Amino acid sequence: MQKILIANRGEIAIRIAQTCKKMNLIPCGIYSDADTSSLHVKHCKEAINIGGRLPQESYLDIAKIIDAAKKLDCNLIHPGYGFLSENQKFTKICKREGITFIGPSTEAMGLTGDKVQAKKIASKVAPVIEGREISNETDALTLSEKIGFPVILKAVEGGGGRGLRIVKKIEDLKQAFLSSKNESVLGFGSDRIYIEKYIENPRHIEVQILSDNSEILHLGERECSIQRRHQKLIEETPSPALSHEKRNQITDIAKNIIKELDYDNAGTVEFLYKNGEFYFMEVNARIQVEHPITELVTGIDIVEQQIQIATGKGLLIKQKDINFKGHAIECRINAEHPLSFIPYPGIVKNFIPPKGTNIRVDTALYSGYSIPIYYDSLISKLICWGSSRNEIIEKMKNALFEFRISGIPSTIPFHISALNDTRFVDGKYDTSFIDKLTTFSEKKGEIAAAIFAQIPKKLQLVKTDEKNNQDKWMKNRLGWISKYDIERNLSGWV
Amino acid sequence: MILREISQDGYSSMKIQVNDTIYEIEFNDELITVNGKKIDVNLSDDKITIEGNTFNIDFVEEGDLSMMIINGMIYLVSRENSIYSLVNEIRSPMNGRIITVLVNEGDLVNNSQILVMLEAMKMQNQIRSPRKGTIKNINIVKDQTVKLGDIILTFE
Repeated sequence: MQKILIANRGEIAIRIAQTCKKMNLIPCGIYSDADTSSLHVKHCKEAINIGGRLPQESYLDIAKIIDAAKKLDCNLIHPGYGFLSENQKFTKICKREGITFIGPSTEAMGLTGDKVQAKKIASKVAPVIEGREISNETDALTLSEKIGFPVILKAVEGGGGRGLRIVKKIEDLKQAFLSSKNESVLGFGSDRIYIEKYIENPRHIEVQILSDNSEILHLGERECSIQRRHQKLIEETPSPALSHEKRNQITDIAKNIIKELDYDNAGTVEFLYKNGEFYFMEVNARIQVEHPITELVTGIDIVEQQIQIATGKGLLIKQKDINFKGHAIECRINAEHPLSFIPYPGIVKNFIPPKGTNIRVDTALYSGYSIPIYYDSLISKLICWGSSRNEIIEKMKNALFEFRISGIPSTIPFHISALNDTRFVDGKYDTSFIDKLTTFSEKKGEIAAAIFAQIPKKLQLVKTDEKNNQDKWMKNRLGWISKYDIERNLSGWV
Repeated sequence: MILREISQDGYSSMKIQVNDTIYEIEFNDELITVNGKKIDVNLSDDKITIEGNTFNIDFVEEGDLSMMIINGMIYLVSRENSIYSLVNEIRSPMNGRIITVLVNEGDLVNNSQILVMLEAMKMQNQIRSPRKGTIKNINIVKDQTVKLGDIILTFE
C-alpha cells in the first residue's frame, strides 16, 4: 500500500485522510508543537512532529515537510488548501525528490499564480476587467484616468484580500498605491501592483473544474458572494442568480480558460458577475474550502479525483456522467466575535455538532480542545443538502440552532442572521450583503439572557491566562485589519 | 469569611436591558420573578430551562455592553448607563461595618469598580459602582457602622 503525506492540519487534513483510506492509501500526517492535541493527528496512520508553532516554522517550512515525507516513506503529498498548496517552489522540490504532488503541474501553477499573466492568457477566451500591472506612480495615474474611477489596486502575487485598495478619486491614489505596495512587500515579498476597474458590489461566482491532460470537466458553479474582507462566509450551489443559459455560458468559459492555461488537476475559475456579464478574476490551483457543496450535488469526491489525476490514472468520469442534483449550502463557522469578526481563540467547552440526513460537518473540533492562536480561525464547515433551495435554508437554520459550540464565540449568530435575511431567502444578494445585515434573535430568548446576566461569576467562561493569549493574538491579527474595518465592524451590522 | 459580590441593588430586583427591552428580574433564593411574574426556571452551568423551553448559553462576553450567544443567537445585554446613569447616590444594601474605602472624593470611577467593602454577618461584601462617574461626597469612614439605606457616597 502506498503512503501519502497530508501536509496540512485541521479539518482539511481529516477530510483528505478519509478519502485516502477509501482509496487504500495510508494517510500520514505532520503536526507542529502547537498542534500536539489536534484531531487530524488521530486520523493519520502515522504522524511526525515537525516542531515550530508559527506557520513559517512548521506547515510552510518546505525542508521540514520533505524531510517528514522521507522519514515516513511517503511518495505522495497532498497539500490541502493554504500553506504550500499553491507554492511553485514546493512543487519543484517535490518533483526533484521524486514525490508526487497532488495538484497541478509546476508550469500550470506558475501561470495561475501570476495573476497578470493568467488574465492576459484568459482574455483570449473570456471577458476580463480592464487594467494591467503598473510600473510606478505616474503610470498608476495615467492608467486610472484612462479606465476611470473607481479603481482597485491589487498585489500581483497576493491573495486573501491583502494589498487590496479601492480608490474612488484621483487624490487618494498616491496614498493607496504606497500602502498597497507596502502591504504586498510585507506579505508576499513582492512590490508588483496592478490596477483595474473596480466593479462595485458584484456577485462572486466560481466554477469547479477537473482536468487531466485529455479531458476538461466542470462540476458546476458555486455562489460565494457572502464575504467579509474578501473572505467567504457562506457558499451555495447552484447560484440563485444564474439562468440555465448563463450557467452554460460560465461553465463553457471556465473550461476554455483552463484549456488555454494548459491546467491539469482540480481547479477553480473565479468570476465577478454584474448586470448579466461575467469577468474572469483568477484560477485557484488547489482544493477549496467550499468544495463540499459541489461534492454533495454531484456525488463526486474531488480529493479522489485529484489523486487519480496527479498519479497519472486520469479522470475516470466524463462530463455526461455528472448529474447535478438538488441544492447545497455551506456555512463557514469561525472562532470569531460574531459582530466584529475579530479572531477569538480559547478553550472549547462543549462541541456538539448537529446530526441528520444530508447534514455534513467538516471539522477538527472537540469538547475541551484549545484552539491554537497561530492558524486560521475556521473551526467548522456546516454543509446541508436538499432537493430545493427553500428546504435547505430551513434545514440549515435548524442545524445552526442545534449546533453547540460554547466557551468561545463563533460566527453561528452571523449565519443565522444571514439565513433569516429576505435578501438571502430571495437569492438577491451581492458582495455588499453583510454591510446591511441586522442581527437576529428571538424574543423568548431575551428572558433567558436577562436571568443569566443576573448570575455573577458564572459568566467567567474564559480563563485568565487564555484571555491574555487571546489579547496578544488579537493584537497580532489586528495588524491585518484596517482601522476603518474595526470601527465599522464594532458598530455592528446595522 | 466568605467573599461575595453585591450590586447596588443587592438582593432586590434589578433592571436589565436585553436588545431593546427592559426586564425587571428578582432573585429570591430559588424563586425568580420576571416583570413581577413568578416563573419556573431550572438553572444549570450553561443552560436555562424556562417554562419547559431550554436555552443553551454558548458564550458570554464580559464588559459594559455584554454580548451573549444563546442557542446560536446574539443578545445584547446591559445593566447600566441607560438605566443606572441616573443613580446619584450609593446606599448601603444592609446593616454592617465599613471595612475598607477604596475611593476618594473627586475620583472618576468606572462601572462595576469596587467602591467600599462592607462586613456583615461575617461576610465581606463588595459594593460596586453601578455607573461611571465622579464621586462628589463620601459620607462614611473606615470602621463606621452603617444601616440599610444609609447614603454611603454621592456622585456629581
